[in-house]
Amino acid sequence: MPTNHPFHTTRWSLLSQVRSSEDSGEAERALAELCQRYWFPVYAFVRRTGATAADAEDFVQGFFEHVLTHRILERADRSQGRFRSFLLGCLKNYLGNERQKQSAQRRGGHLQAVHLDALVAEERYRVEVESLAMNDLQTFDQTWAHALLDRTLAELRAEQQDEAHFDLLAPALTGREDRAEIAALTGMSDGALKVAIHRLRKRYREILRGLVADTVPTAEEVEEELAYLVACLRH
Amino acid sequence: MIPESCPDCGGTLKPGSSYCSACLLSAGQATEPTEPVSTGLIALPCDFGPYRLLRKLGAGGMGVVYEAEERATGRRLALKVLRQAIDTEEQRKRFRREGRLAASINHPNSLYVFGTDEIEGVPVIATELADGGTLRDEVKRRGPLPVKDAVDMMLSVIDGLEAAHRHGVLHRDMKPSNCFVSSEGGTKVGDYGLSISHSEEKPAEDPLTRSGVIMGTPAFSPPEQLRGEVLDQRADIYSTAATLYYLLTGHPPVEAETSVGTVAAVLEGRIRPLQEYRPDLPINLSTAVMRGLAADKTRRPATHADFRLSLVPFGSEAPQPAPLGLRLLAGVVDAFIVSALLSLFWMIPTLTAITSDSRILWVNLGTTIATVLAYTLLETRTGATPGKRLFGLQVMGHGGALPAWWPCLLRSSLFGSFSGLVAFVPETWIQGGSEHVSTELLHSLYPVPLLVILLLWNLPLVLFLPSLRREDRAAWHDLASGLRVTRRRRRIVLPALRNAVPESPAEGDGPSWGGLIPGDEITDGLRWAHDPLLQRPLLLRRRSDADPAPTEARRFCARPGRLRWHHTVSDPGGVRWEVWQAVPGQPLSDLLALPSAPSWDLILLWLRDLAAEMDAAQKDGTLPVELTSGHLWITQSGHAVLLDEAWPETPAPQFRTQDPQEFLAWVAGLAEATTRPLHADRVIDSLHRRGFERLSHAVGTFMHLQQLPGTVDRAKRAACLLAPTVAAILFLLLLASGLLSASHEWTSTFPGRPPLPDVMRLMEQESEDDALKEAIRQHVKGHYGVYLREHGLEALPGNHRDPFGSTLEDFVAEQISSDLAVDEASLERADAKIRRALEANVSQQGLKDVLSVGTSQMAAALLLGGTLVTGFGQLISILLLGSPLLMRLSGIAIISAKKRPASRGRLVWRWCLGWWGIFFLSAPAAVFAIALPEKYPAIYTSAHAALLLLPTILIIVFLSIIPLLGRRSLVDRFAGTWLVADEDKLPLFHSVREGTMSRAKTIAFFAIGGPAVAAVPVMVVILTLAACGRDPQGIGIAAAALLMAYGYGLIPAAISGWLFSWLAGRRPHAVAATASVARMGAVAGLFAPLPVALSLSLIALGVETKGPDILAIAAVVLVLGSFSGAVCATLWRKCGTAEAKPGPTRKSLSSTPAS
Repeated sequence: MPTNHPFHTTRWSLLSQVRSSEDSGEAERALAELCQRYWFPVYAFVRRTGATAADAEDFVQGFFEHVLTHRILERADRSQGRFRSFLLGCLKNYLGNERQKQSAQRRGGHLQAVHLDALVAEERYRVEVESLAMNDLQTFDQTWAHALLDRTLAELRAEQQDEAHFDLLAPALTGREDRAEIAALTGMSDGALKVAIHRLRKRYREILRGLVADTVPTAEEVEEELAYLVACLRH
Repeated sequence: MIPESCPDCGGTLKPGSSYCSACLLSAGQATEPTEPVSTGLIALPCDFGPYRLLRKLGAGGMGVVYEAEERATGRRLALKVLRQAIDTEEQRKRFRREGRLAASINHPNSLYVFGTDEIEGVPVIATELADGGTLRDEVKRRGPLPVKDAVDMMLSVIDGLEAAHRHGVLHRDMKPSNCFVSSEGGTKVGDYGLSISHSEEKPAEDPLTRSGVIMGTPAFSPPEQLRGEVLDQRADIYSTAATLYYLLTGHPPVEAETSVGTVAAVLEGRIRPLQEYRPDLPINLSTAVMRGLAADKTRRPATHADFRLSLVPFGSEAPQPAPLGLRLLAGVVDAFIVSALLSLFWMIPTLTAITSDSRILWVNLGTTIATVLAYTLLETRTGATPGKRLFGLQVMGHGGALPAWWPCLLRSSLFGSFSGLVAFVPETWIQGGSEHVSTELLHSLYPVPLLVILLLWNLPLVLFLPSLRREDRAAWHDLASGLRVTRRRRRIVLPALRNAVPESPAEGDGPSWGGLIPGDEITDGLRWAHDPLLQRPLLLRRRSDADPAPTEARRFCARPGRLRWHHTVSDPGGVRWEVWQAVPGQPLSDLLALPSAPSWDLILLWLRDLAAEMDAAQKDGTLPVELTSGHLWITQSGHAVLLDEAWPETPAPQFRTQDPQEFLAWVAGLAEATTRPLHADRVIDSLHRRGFERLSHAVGTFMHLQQLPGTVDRAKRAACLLAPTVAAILFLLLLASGLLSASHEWTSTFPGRPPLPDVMRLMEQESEDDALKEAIRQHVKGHYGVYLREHGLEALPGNHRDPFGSTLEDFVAEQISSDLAVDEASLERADAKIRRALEANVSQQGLKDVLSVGTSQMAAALLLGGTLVTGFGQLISILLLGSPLLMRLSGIAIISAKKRPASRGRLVWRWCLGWWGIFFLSAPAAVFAIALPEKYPAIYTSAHAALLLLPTILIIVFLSIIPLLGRRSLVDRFAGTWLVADEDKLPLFHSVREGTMSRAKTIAFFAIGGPAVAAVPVMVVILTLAACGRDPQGIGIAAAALLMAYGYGLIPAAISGWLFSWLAGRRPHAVAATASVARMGAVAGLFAPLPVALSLSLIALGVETKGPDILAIAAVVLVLGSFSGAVCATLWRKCGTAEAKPGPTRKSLSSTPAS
């Protein structure tokens, strides 16, 4: 089934094609936006490898600064494939190098490469990650999937005029809605409800696939990436 | 916080989230699930063919597994659905074969297959639901498992795999995620997706082993599987060991970054030692697991049974602690063996020449250390010394392993230093003491060292004080070393049983009934059927409209003790038939029709199965209303299955009851009464009286009975018969070595002269020759006169205490004080005459040759007398205790066809028969040894001594053959008796101790027992006096010997027991402890000196003694002995009632009727 997503060249493919070009300001902005979307998986991974909350924050900031300022993209190996794999590879290298260098010398005074609310990060980590028995890689992939979903739902919600209406319809996204109950609560007719759910699902799929597409080199890989993330969550 | 999982897809829910991320994300996928069931993306629950899918359980290599409900029956089961992605014809074939192989196994530890089907074009397998998850889940949930849990689980898995192998099936994909935990907690083998059957495919044709394809899970696969070689059960053993490795550590044996790395590591056998993950594991368990993981398959255990044996000691079925009585007996046997070896050791000429105290001490120390080392070596290598092995005991380390060398050395050293060393040092002291201390001082101080010695000799008993109160019966040396002495686990061998279930469908079958091919009719309303898909037999029972359908509880009953219900089919005529599982085996009636009755071990297995099943059936209401002999189906592996309705082949049910306990009693009675152990009688009695409050109590009792010996061991029978004879021979050897050393002592003290005892014997025998007598007088006066006047009579070498030279001292004293004049010439003439006389009379070489005629006579006398005394001892024991003592203590009872145990009259008759044979065999020995030399001294030379060995050998052979002549010896056949096992030892003593014996019997017991016990010291006193002379020192030694023999156990043991209990601050227990130690001491005191005393008594017969003196002393000792015997018995009775608790054996057996 062909993808519904409008563009064929994904954001990540554009980024990964940026080589020694001087005109890479646009690309860097795009990269910064992507990093902002996926800072939590990076944080969770760092925490999972044994860093304290304070160290993790430093590490994450340092890492994103490193990614955004060291022309990492120029050295990026195309075979690394997806943005998720690229980011994880960079993160592993970075962690290895940093741990060798330090650790008495605490970092400080970074530029805020990504906006990271330390308290929120730690709270999320405690609730979403710590209670699950996962290894480092699973942590990264699963939090990645959750970050992706959160972003998708947030965008979808933002597009809806009536958020309460959206909350009632949201269960329909997984196909487990009680239509009679929704109809009763929203006062919609059966036909209208069917149409609303269909539209919501369609838009959800578009946003989700769009966000995934930003992180993979070609549009054809969206499906694969989604399947991979589903498998990670069901592990 | 435990994360929840999505009821639909099984994915982990994000904490605090109301939706399932996985489901939400998958909704964004482009491809809608077209074949939902096989990809796991369906919205559950949903209907799928005849099933309703409820929950996804997991996904394997070939399919997705769902928990499902069979809509028609309501049964919950696991439904494995072939993955659509791999749906090729070959895979379909493989998938169907998986179902067929799994269905053929039919074992409680293998997931039961209800059927295979094809729904909407997708093949499915419906199996029993094991809703406890897999062992992988278990490890994920709990982390590395405790040893007992892990081993128990693997033992179940091994049972399942062994059953599979019996049906020709190799699993080939054994791993934690293929072992399932049932809701009852049992572990079952599942997922036969890669299995292969020997019978149906040759390896070359097996598509699963074609080159280039790695099948199985590399980390759990043996190297030969990865190389694509032909596999046997050792491949499954490797994978099982790998699974156990995972359970114990939480890691597979091989971990690598990539699958190529994993394969390489497996092929090279690079497995991280188990101890690195779990240093706390018993070393033998690690060794057993690592042996199973050997890269070279020839180094692995050859069969599942071997692998099981190496794991069993670490499982939760803890072995029973060894009863103290058996430990004592084992100790006595070991002591006999050690003393026999040591006596041989002391016969080495250079050692016999040792006289210096310090050197004797060093040699004794050396032999003690050697004994300790020998014990250590035996126990570390085999787990038992010969005595322990004989009585079925073993020494076990932590977790049931063979003991490591250092705790074993510690244990043996502790015991050795308490017994061996302490016993040796005072011996040296006594032997050497007379040379340094004046006689008077020695006499006055004698009681002090004696008391110390006696206390020290009883130290080993003190070691056992803690065991009186401990459940595990551990003594102090056990506690210090962390080792335990337990009963050896019995290996029950079951006969191969027939299978009455037809394996293939009958020819000319009619139309299919609901997918089944109807087979032979067994009776009206009951017939076999065949499942063509799974190729297995089933049982059909017709249900008329009047018959009630099986209840829900019965339909879903999944216990191994019942047949599983499948479903209902209709025949072409519309009649309904219930389809039941057909377990390979036969109805009980078939088995009973065989000429030999089933063995007790087999019946005990049935009893355990039946009691467990009926207990569960009573709870869920599935117990048949009436139980008959036809309700029992015996599987091929020997287990019992309770049928819902009586099997029609039984001509007429021989037995009917509605009471489960009565039914069990009837089953127990199926064993031949002559093979059934006596200790089982009590349990059967309680069953008859319905004495078990719950059937689960009966299950426990049967499990306990399974651990007790069910049959009489031949080695034990032989030991009981041979022990007294061997004891006599041992004593003979000791005596011979003593004589040799005495001879050496004479010739070294007086070089160039014949030993004086030989000369004296010449004087006694050649009493007619006055010239010779005169020459002897001159010889004594001339050679010994001056020396003895200077040094006194005590300066004569020690063997003047030799029984044969007891009048020597008097004679020498008389000659020295006489005024006989001896000059050199007459002395030379006298010496020459004596030498000629000695040479002429070759039969009188005396001390010069151990095998001389004098000794041979003694040997024959010892042998004859020893057997006589043993025989009469046995007779006394039969009259007193109702059975021969050694047999009784070794757990053997004698029964007759009518009476259990046999009456005393029959036992006496049996005794007469047995001993008549031995007396008959002994006759030649008597003739050769005693009559011939007296009548024809000229033809009797030392060569004839060898002839004495013949009857000796004959007696030993006779005694040895009796127990080896099959289960029942000739004596038993003539006497109409049988030998059966009986672990309820010494009931007489128990009843005395517990105060349950009647007053009259108690008085009789004391009246007979007291003097009988006293007889031992009387003999000892007579012998010692005869040997040592009747001077004060002799009496002192006699008193010591008396105390040693009689008081050895009782008096000092009681004192030390009291003392130690008091020291331990346990005054309330002191009485009980004292009594127990006293009892142990009494038994030890009876046994240790008995053979010696009895043998010595025979020597005494040949001693010229002054009758009245001996009789007077004997009378006094007898009275004193009776008195002290009675006192001890009273103490025994009194304290026994105050004693804490009976042992576990009696507890579990006797608790049943009381309840």
